[in-house]
This record gives sequence, structure tokens and C-alpha cells, in this order.
Amino acid sequence: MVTEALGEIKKAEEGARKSIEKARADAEKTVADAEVKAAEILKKAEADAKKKAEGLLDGATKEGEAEAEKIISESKKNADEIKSKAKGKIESAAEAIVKGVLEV
Amino acid sequence: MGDIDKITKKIADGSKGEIDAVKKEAKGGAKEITAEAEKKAGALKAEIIERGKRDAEREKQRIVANAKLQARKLGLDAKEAVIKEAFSAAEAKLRKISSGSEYPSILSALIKEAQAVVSSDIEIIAKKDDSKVLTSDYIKKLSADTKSKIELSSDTIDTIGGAIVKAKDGKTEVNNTIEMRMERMKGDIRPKVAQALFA
Repeated sequence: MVTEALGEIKKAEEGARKSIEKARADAEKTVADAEVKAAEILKKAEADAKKKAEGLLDGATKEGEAEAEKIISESKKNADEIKSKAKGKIESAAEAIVKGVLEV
Repeated sequence: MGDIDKITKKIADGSKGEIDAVKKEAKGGAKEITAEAEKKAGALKAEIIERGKRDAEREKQRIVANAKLQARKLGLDAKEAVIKEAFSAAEAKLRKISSGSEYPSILSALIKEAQAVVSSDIEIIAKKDDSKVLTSDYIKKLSADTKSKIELSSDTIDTIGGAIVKAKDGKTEVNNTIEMRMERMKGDIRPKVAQALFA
């Protein structure tokens, strides 16, 4: 009778110990899962931000290139105007050079 | 309920309390880890985007600055091309002059100027065609005008006109060819030419 009672108590204690061990293991897993999730949150945030930054860079590059194209196109026009306006003055400039070279 | 049942129930109840505490602590810990990660993620995201904005703006400015430099170069190249054209036209005129009626007096002036620098008896080296101009009478007159002994070298040079004047002792030499004069004067003439062309 006593042996039987002690067996029951031992069994209950063993059950309680196992339940606590399981709860601790589950708790460790919960924390480990949270750490994995935290790493994923950071990774995703970094990836999203990099993607957005790349988009900003692409946009700025396109804007810069469009502005650059305008500047170059305008300067080509100006260069042509410079040449065209000066064309009629080349003869007199050449005369001035000749005069300068031959002036003793 | 028997005594044994009471004891086993007490054991079970005791473990349940500990289990609940472990669970609660784990949940709290996990929640804290997630909240901390979200906070860090937000800051990281903001930092990367802010840096991205700065890089993007810098890149745009770099592209525009390069274009402005290129544009400036296009303008300068256009002016340079016109100036070069003016010098080419001048060279063509000088070639024409060097075979014209004014040339003997021009050559004489160039030789006299060089002789004044050398300041001694001289030897003249000129282009082959100038032998028609540099006759013995012409050289005699030059000698008289410069009060020096002048000889015409048998060597010739390839030039539009003018001459190289060498001191007889070989110590001094003045290159007074038209090309060399044009080269020497380029620095002085260029601003005037640019002014005449683009003002």
C-alpha cells in the first residue's frame, strides 16, 4: 500500500518535471524563433531600403542625363552660332594677323 | 479525494505555475526582441534611404557638372576652330604676298631687323625661290643699309618667306622666317584675333 502510494507520487513528480522541461524547451524555441524573425525583419528592411535607394539613384541619374542632354544640345547650338557669326570676320582677322606678322 | 490524490494534485499544480511563468517570460522576451528589431529596422531603413537620397543628388550634380564642362569645351573648341581658320587664312595670304611685288621690301625689312639683333656681319639662309630676290645688287644695298658684310648661304630652307640670319662667327642666329614670326607672335596676336572674331 505504501509502496503503491510512493510510486504514485514519484510518477506525479516525474510528470511535473517533464512538463516543466518541455515548457522550458518551448520557451527557448519561442525566443529563438523571435530572434530569427528579428533578423528577417532587419534583412527585409535593408533590402527594401536599398531597393528604394536604387530607385532614387536611377531617377536622379535620368534627371541628370536629361538636364545634361539639354545643356549639351544648347551648347552645340551656341558653338554653331559662334562659328557662323565669326565666319564673316575671318578675312579681317587674317588681315590683322598678316599685318602683325609683317610689322617690323 | 484520497491523500495520495491530494499530493499528486499539489505536485501538478506546482509545476503548472512554473510552466506558466516560463511561458510568460518567453512570450515577453520574444515580444521585446521583435519590437527591438522593428525599431532597428526603421532606423536602418531611414539611414539607407537618406544616404541613397544624398548619393542620388550627388550623382545628378556630377552628371550636370560634367555636361557643363563638356559644354564649355564645345564653346572653346568652336572658338579655337575659328581662330585656327583665321591663322590658316593668314598663312594663305602670306604665301601669296611672298610671291608678290611687295615681297622684296618685306624680306629686306625682315633681314635688317634680324641683323640689328645679331649686330655683326651675317649670312642669310632663305628659301630656294628667294635667290631671284636676293641678287648681288639687293645684297649690296642691304650691306650698305646695315653697314655690315652680308653673304647669301648656299643652304636653303623650306619656308613661306623671310630668312634665318646667322652671325658670321656662328655665335648668334635669328630665325626671322614668316612661320617663326607667326609662332612668336601667336601669344600677342591671339587675344586680338579672338576679340576681332567674337566681340
